Amino acid sequence: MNNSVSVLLMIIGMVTVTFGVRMAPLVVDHIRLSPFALRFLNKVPAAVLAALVAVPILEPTLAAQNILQPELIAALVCLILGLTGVHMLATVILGMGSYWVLATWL
Amino acid sequence: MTELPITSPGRAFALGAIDSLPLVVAAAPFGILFGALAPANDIPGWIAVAFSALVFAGSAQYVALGLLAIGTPLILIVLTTFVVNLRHLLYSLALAKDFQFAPRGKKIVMAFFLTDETFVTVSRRLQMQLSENHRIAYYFGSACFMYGNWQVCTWMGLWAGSSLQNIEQLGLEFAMVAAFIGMLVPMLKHKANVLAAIIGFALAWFTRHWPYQSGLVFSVVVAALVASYPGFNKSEKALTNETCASEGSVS
Repeated sequence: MNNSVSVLLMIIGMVTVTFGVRMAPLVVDHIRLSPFALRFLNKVPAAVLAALVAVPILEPTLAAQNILQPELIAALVCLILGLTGVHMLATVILGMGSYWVLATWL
Repeated sequence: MTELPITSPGRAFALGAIDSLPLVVAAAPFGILFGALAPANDIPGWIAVAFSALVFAGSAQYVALGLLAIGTPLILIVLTTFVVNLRHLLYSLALAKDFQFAPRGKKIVMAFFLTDETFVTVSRRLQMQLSENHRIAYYFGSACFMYGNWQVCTWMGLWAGSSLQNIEQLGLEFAMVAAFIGMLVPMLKHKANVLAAIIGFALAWFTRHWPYQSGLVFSVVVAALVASYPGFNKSEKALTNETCASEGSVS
């Protein structure tokens, strides 16, 4: 664990970048982004979320040399539930539930 | 959405809160989970409280907590927070015209409270018309409700996470994965987002041994760059339509 002072500095940094991004277009008049920049920014959330789940989902499969790991199967359950139009919150709860069940079985 | 006659700023404030209710309710479990994850990852409670009170950005808080837990260099956590919150630039940009009349000081305070939820709520109401006299009050009605709820939920989660025993055996790490997939799926209505997600996922896996989580930043930038190629965005509609697709996601 890093020491408290550097964590405090990190929090100040996080506040600065978050606040800055939220504030700039509202306060500075006539900010114009190119259509490409807008399209790029639009894709960032999906890219970030997908990139973040890759290792937690796939690592256990690699470690166990066996594709039938609870993380991978439960992630697929979440994905399928979401795609079939189940509400986001229900998706998360059912995904967690399937993870618990699978982790007990496998 | 209810059609209350807005006759005073007080009513506009109340209506802003009422309109935000469904999204506030949806955010509550994520706030609680966020609070609970801190002790589960051996992260001091004050950090979680400070994140919620000062950064006030759900998905970025989750990401930062996750990165902190695996000992990522702090400067990279700040950088990742920036990347994750870049989408707020779009929200701010979309609201700028409708709040052009507002005094600068108020706009600065408004910006602090800008989340996915408040953006979605306010822009919907703006489409149904909302007079300039009531816009700021309406915005703060939504913002204050979201903010208060997020703080309370963080504290509740922190309490639950530190007082319940064997919380590390509950598989809460997977809750984060489930939450991220839950947030991601509504975005997959757009083909370009599907592409961004697939590339981001694959690259993040193949660059996982890069030092200091640099592979993560690399993967996100490359995935978003490729997916923003014009050919993949033919069906893209107006800016607000796309951002509303992420409705229900955590701030």
